[in-house]
Amino acid sequence: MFGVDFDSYWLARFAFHRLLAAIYLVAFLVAARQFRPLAGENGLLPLSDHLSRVEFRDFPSLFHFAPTDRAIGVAAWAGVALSILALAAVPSWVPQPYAIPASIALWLALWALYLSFVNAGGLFYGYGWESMLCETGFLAAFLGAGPTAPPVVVLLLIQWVLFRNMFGAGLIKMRGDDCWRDLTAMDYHYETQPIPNPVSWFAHHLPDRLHRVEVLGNHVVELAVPFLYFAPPEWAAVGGALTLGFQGWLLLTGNFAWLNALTVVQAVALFSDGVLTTAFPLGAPTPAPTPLYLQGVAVVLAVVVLALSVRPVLNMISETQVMNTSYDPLTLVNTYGAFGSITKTRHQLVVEGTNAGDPNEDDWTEYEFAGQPVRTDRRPRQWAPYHLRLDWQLWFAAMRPRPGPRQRWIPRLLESVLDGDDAVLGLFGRVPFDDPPDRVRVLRYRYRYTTPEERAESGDWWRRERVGTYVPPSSLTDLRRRYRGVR
Amino acid sequence: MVERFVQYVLVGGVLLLAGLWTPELVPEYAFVGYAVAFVGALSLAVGIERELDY
Repeated sequence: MFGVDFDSYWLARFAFHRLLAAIYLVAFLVAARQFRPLAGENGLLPLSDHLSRVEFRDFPSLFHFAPTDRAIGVAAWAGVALSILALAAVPSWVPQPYAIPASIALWLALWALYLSFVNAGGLFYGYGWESMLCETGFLAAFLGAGPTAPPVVVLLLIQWVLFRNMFGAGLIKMRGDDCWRDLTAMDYHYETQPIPNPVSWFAHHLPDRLHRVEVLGNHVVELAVPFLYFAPPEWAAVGGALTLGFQGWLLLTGNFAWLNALTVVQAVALFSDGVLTTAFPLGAPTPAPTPLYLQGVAVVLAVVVLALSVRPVLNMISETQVMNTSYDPLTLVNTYGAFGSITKTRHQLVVEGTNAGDPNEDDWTEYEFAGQPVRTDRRPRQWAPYHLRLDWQLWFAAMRPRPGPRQRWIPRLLESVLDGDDAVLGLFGRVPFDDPPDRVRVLRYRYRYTTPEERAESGDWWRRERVGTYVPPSSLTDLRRRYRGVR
Repeated sequence: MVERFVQYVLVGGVLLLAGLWTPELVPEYAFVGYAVAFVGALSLAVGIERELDY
């Protein structure tokens, strides 16, 4: 169509590997900082409890052999170091013919380390973008390195992940809340999304008519555009550009950890050298042919992926589609699909502490979270692609009027606050006590954005109204007595 | 049973792909390919539209 050579994807691999390495780097930094207080030896959901309930063959993880905080630290920082090596494309520095084996070894090591965290992290690692990082990271191992061309089969497999990611999300929305079908989803989304960012307030106040167009655009990009990924390269690039624009808007208006960034990385695989050098002032080398052994490995990989794709595809076309599920212990081929349900009202949990013997309402002081709004005058912050795992679980927890079975970690969180556990307190945005308070409580509020008029007048970003008490005033003794059977 | 809107979308997607590949693979039938791609795009649009309730 454009009279250029579309056969090579050398530039796409160059960008894909580096961007994916950057996401791995963030993911391992998150693990280094958060895994121990959340899911470590003495975490809110202790590692030993989780590992005692699962078998290695179902949830393979290095931590089955070393369920210790020391091993968690070593693995997380090893992941950081390996991510930096990948970011610097160190395998490409290795002389031929060893560059490709070095690349395979590096990317498989990253995959195995991260899979260990995902399979040991339980509730705190139950997000779709965890298995998606594993799946995408595994495929990255077989893209080759150095001056040779990447195997086209592996690029097709990356496009297949992207297709399931986008198309699955499109289907689950059509089957989910009515607000996706009556085009009102964006009337709520920016306000009730898990962790708003600095732009979310402004996006919420866009005209209603534009919100309708946004939802319609979402359906087109998630249900129709994914077919273009498998079209001839110039059309695939059109699909890629539409996907990048869509993900760019999501990146701009919310904090979804690395979900959008990872989708962008997958979409990079849609751009051939011919398209990129035509559209941008870039030079691309003429790569050497892909070695025969790597082509053979890629074909075997494709057969495995196709065989493992049967259940995810059946799930995708089923009326009872489930979101974000792995069907094999190595999470090689998964099903994706997020935000089929949109919450219409935003509830927030606010943790408060006091040292008063008989406290009245003025004696309680609020803890602040890093991402979840507490103070109404504080502008939401940008965190993505960094992942605030405690804040995400707080968002789910606030949907209930009381802690439920999936909130077993809440009593542990409050105990840690009363114990002055520095690792857990480090997950908060601001801790208002130098020494631990005597008692804590958790209040439940309904939050809504201020109107432009309210914000012009007060400078506030939120209005809130107390709707209940999530956990009543409790000392350490109260918590241990009340929640003894829950943990 | 696959829902009707999914049937429209899947058939539309396959037709779109077949139509777009035709000019690459059989250039002399490019016109037919674009016609098939148009029908595919139409089927995708109908599949999405029939689920909407606005």
